[in-house]
Amino acid sequence: MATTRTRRAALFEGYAGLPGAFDELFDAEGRPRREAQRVVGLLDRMGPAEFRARKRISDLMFRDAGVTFSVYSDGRGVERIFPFDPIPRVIGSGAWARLARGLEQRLTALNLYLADIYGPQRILKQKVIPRGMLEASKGYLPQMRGITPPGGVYVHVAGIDLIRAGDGEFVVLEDNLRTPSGISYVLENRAVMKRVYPHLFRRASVQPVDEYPTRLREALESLAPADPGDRDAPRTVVLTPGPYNSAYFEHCFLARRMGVELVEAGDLVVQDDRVYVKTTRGLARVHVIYRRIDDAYIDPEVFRPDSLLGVPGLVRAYRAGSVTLANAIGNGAADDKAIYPFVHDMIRFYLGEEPVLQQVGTWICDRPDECSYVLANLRSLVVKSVDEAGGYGMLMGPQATKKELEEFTRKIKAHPRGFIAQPRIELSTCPTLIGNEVRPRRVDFRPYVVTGTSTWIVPGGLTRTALRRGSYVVNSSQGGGSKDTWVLGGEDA
Amino acid sequence: MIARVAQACFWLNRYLERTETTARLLQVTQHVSLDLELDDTALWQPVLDVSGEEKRYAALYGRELEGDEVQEFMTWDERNPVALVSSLRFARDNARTIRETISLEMFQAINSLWLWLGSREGRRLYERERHLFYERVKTGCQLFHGLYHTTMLFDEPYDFMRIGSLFERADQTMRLLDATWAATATPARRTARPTDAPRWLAALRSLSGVEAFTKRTRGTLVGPTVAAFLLYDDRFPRAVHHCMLRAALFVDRARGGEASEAGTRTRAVLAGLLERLRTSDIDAVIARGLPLEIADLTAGMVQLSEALQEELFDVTAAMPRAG
Repeated sequence: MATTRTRRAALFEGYAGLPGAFDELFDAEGRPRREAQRVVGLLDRMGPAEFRARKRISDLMFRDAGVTFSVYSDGRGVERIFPFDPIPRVIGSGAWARLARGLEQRLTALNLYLADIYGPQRILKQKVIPRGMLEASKGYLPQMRGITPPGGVYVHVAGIDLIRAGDGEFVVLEDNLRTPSGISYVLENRAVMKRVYPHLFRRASVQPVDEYPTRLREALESLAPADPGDRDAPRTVVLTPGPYNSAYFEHCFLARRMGVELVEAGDLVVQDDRVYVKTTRGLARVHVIYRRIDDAYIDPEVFRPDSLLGVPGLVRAYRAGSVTLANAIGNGAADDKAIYPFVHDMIRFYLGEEPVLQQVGTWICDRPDECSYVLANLRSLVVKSVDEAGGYGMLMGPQATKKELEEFTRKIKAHPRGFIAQPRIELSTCPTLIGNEVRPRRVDFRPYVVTGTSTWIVPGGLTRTALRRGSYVVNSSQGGGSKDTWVLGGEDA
Repeated sequence: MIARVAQACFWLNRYLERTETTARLLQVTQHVSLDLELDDTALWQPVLDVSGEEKRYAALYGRELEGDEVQEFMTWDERNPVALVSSLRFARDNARTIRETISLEMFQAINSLWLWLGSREGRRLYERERHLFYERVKTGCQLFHGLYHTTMLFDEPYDFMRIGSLFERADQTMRLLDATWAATATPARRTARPTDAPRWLAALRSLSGVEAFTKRTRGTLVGPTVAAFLLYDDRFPRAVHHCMLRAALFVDRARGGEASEAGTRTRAVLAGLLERLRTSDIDAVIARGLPLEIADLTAGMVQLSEALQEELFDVTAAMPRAG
């Protein structure tokens, strides 16, 4: 019997990247990149209708699982789903190996820098970094000088924000060395992808990311203080600010997957320079705290006497060496946007190596000549407030209105230390489902680096995507979405 | 376990139990309205009595009872702390603070029920097929209950969840008994009205107790027999005595065994309540006045909750260190 087969439209038919931008899946001639050929072929064969039907299923899965972040638009805290785009971003094994090498190098240097500034301050004495630059940093906490964290590790978990320039080279945009978030979306995105698009994974040699929680727990506990008297030692907890924090879902997720308890500051108490958790049967000693609350709120005895948050005495216990805090207190001195321009100098200073990863050229408004350049060229630059994150306090020069330009001119003149400026970088694009069509949307990338007695990088990471046409802003709080990121194993270049 | 988490486990189940009981009561009352020639006040007053939110209702909707408004108030009105939507919100809020403690399936069950209730689909079913609407809420709660028996460690969090369910269940049974007693013939007002038996039947039905009642008592459907069954039966899952017997088991487990030094006062209050439930004689209780007895038992329950709060949830730095 003859059957007529209607020719289905291919998902990527007519897809074209943006001029000047690197596309993650297609080359400049519109051919799938080598590492992306398989997945592009499979998605094309699936066809748009099937693909959209599956997209609806994945949306529902995120909703029911309550994979949310909270936004404070009306003071009550609304939970929102982080929009998920099911077309994966693919990174070949060669590009990944180079990136991983660069990340490890960068983290090693940043960790040495923290040990130095809270210790002998060699880098200041040798004037590689101006003392004034450090001392003006809000993240620098002189109270922490002389405390050596267990194993000398400051940055247990780092999330490094990268973009991919026009030539495909990864470029560091920002270091997050305090409480970087987003790893839960990496794991959830992968779990949903595997359930909704299982056939895409067959023989694709996508490297697994699920190990993260176990590896993190192992890394943290490898640095736990000894407590031979306690048969439950080391006891590790995740410390959250509570359900109203925007990353609360992630805190729960990590505690669950690490198999440890999630606590709020009020659950902890310090006695005789030791930390205890209040249980239904009394107090139990805590050895390792993966804390997801900011330095300023961690211990009212030291930082914010007015604060009701935090654990009074925690810093005393930390100083006494009876508890491991991850990340260490005071890391803000290293991921300050005004310190960022010096990271290459740190790598050369501490490691005697040339940096593997590029970073974006930066003008520091605190330097008068650079400041006047910035003010004169505001229209072509991206200006960032050094004390803000999440895409807040940012000026996109090329898209700014006259009023915004004037406002920033005023702000920079009033407080030059508070701002840096960078050229606008073309973010790479990745095919993204917008309505019924696949369109290029700009993406960034955040890999996660875990350090205990050794360093491990999860083969994957968070790809955030701008969903609005032409937008460069990928932050979830500003309407960005995310994608699964596939790091391929095996032999491709 | 962490005291705050224990508390959230307890309240999560209390609120969810309350959600289910409220759905049951509204479903049955709505159903009874089809059989009985009762005016709205006679029919819906007991529902407000059970909720304890009569004053708030009067302030918001006026003194005249109107069936539809009572249902709206008890189902959707977030200004009413015991409305179905409020109880479920509190339950879900608690679940959210301990989502790493409960199983993933449990959170998904309560979360999808919550999202459904807030969706247009939920409201539409309420408008069109009210019976089915309450059924859906009930089965949503039951799914959660089934899941915690089959997906959670039989450990402290589980124990505190069971205690929460059992306390709330006992409390709701007493409230319903009290309200139905007030609405039917009592020894003080001896003539039984033709609506009395259907009311007791409805009360039993909303507790899924009709068949159990028949099996356990062989009695006629009159106030004293039902009251004895709902208070003193030791096998019926929603009888106060049974709830307290089970609660004693889980309280002991949560304290760390009968001999544990933690929560001794909680255990003592509970033992007192159990003794009273075991030895009371229904005739004597009725002679003194059933509402008085219910008031005493309720006060005992309040004491019990307070003891639990102070001894197991409000751990202070002064407490001994766990071994």
